[in-house]
Amino acid sequence: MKTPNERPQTVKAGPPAAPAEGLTVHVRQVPGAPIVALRGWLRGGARVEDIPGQALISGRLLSEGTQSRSWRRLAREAEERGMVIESFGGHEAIGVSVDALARDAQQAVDDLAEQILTPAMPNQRFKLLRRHAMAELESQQDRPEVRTARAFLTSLYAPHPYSRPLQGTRRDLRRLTRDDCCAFHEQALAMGIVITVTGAIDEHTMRDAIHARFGHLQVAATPLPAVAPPPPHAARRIDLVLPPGDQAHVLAGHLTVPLAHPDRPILDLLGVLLGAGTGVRGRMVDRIREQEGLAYEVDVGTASGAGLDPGRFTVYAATAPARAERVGEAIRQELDRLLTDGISVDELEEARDYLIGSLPFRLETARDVATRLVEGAFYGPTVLPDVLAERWRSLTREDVIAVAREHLDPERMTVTVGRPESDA
Amino acid sequence: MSRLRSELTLLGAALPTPAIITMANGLTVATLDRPDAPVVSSALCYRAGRRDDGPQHGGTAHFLEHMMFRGAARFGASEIDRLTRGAGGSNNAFTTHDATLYEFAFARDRWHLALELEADRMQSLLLAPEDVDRERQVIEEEIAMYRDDPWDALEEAVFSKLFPRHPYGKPVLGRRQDLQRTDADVLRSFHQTHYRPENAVLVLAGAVGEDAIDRAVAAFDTLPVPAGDRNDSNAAAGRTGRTAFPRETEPQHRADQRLVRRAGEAPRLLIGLRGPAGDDSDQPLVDLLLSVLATGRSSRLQRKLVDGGQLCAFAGAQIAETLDPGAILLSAEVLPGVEPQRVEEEMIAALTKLAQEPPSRAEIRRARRMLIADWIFGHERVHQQAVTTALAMASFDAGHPLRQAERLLAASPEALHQAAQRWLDPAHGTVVGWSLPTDDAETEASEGR
Repeated sequence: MKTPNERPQTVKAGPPAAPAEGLTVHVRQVPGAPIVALRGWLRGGARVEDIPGQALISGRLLSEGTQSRSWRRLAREAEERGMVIESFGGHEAIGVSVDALARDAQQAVDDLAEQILTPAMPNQRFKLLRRHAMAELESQQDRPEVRTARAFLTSLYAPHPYSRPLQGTRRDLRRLTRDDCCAFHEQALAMGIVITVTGAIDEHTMRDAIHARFGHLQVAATPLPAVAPPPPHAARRIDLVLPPGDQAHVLAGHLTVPLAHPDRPILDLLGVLLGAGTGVRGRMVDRIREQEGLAYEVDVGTASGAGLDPGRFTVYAATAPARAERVGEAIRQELDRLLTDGISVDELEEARDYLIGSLPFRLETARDVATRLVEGAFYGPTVLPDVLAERWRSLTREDVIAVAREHLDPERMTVTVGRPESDA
Repeated sequence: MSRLRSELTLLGAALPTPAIITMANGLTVATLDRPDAPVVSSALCYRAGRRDDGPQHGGTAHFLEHMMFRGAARFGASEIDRLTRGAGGSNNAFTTHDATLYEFAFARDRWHLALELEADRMQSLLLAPEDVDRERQVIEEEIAMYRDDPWDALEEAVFSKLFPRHPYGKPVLGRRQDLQRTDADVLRSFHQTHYRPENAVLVLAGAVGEDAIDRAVAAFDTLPVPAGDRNDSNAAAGRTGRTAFPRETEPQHRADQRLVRRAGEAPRLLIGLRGPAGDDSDQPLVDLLLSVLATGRSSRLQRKLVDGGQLCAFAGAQIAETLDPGAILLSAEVLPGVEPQRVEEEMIAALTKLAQEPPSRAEIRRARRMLIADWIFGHERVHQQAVTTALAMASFDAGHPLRQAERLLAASPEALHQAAQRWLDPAHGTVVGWSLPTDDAETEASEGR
């Protein structure tokens, strides 16, 4: 029997309390810690930017001061309440998150609205953020796994925006202006806003507060500009020379499907079967780490980075340079084995049980619930936990094998091997 | 005082005091019942870490942590991960210098599996030699991974200077030559010595139900009562019965400076000072002082180096909570075009100022509120509640987290100033680590200052 305080185990998109087309609002009480989590996302992001780096800097500028408060004052007043305010620019959205103690929920709504609707985007702060983005590009060069991933993504996606870092290049950043960022924010506002409020709150009070701050907006939900899909291509091999180091980095894979694709839940299951998820388990991990001891870290994904555009099948391992080819062979052989021999009923059951059994963790906290609600609003109900669980329950072995054969293909794999200079 | 009480109530709600029993065989079991939580997390913490490794076998505690997933008498090879996954759960483990902690998390209706898995591997770990050999290879790759990470490599170098004689100065993973000497017999001996019920604390957090303790007792009851004098101090202190290492209290060698140069790197700075032990009454005060220094955009270093001064991409400060006096670390990544030495001088100047004059009341209030919020956000998951409680009980006691929080909330500007003089004055000695860009191949050099 459900007790009055028991946490709801589901997240359904439900009828959004939206006062205008293009403005989606979800408010959900989540019992537990005395906190409130607010998320405000504007559609758009790097996939529709004109200049690489425009979305990242525009998003970050949202918390750099508003028309009524400087960034210093915003930060000071938030920190005096223990609030955590962050803004971001991603591939598909820019936005602001506010995490606060529940007693400060009303102030948190005001802060969120102020930063989303009336950012000042001061030129000095723009210049600083641009400089930070350049420093990030430099810092990432020190990470061999990032260099390897960068070469891999360029090969897979170019000229699609997923092929490049959110920062763009130094040259892109140099030609970006504060006016470009102001324009990008205006465009993002016009393409639709998603607001979620979750936590130890009174839903009616919060709904009223959101409507008071956002209800006047006339958001028409301008359709997102079309983005050309990444081009299909055949198998490739990329060899990369890295700075001196102890390990080689192997990253293999190819494009698969967008997040809301009907086969994506089955690809999730295939990912678990190959090694995604908890523990040292799954065919790739078992082979590369457990049986052959070739690597400490083996990461597998079947729709990694998927959003409105296709994600990718990936297997990554860092290994001793002399063993890099062995890792590449193991990846290919395990993929061949999957496509030739299929999967056992036991494997299907284990992967299914894992996916369904782990759903409560995706809804444990107010911040988890906020993330799920935003995902539902962005990608549609097929990405919500309830819908996914239903899909996983109904799968047969034949369904899984058919999807594997349709979407996974060793003949399309890009294999990127980064080796330290002395071993290259 | 009413504000202090209300803040303590908030903290206490985020991390409640556990119900605790000690079994006949010495195992301490604690529960944090959160009936509304959809999940349950277990944290089993052994008082065995890098500090307990033998002199020729550095990395044994960590090696054993890996082997704990390779099977035991009842649940054999791969069974732990297979069963965890089949139940939709997750598992993990980590080793520190002071302890090793194993975690499971399951949905609320199936968490009891964690008890069976933990009891089995505490009692009858397999340690097949061929598995040991394979896992050694995996750990060698783990060591290589950390060596290739610029921050990890720098931290290891700074710690070796900061703690030249204490195990805190040695890497938890050990070195390759140590691993080659560590075989199944060494691991078995370590397991038999340290993986005993009276040397462990089990914490269960989440919707555990009223019979959680009974279930834990039933699962671990078959483990033997230790022969001879039992270490009844299980719930009391992590130092009892363990090797006492010399506390590194002599003046530090301020002249030490370590440079690790690599082609194309961003300049990275890591300054180390020796800090108080986790249960020292100064520890929470130093924590608060470091928050004044570097937490949030209004903090001193953020204003001086990042948002205002525009010298660094980021700057931070932290103190570890360790059994013996540990490390205080300040870190920064320098923006392109900025002279690194300038950042070092600003950092040292900020420490000096903190040691010379107390922070303002407004700074203390802000830092305190940020720490309170951070505590509440940080313990929203039952997993973190279990881990915090288990680590506290293994090294100190169950009341340790709230006791230290109370000290933090009650600290006056004068008390903070005194703590800053004791621990944060760079005149007492610092270890400055730099990772600087250069076109040369990797070189290391120490130079005076």
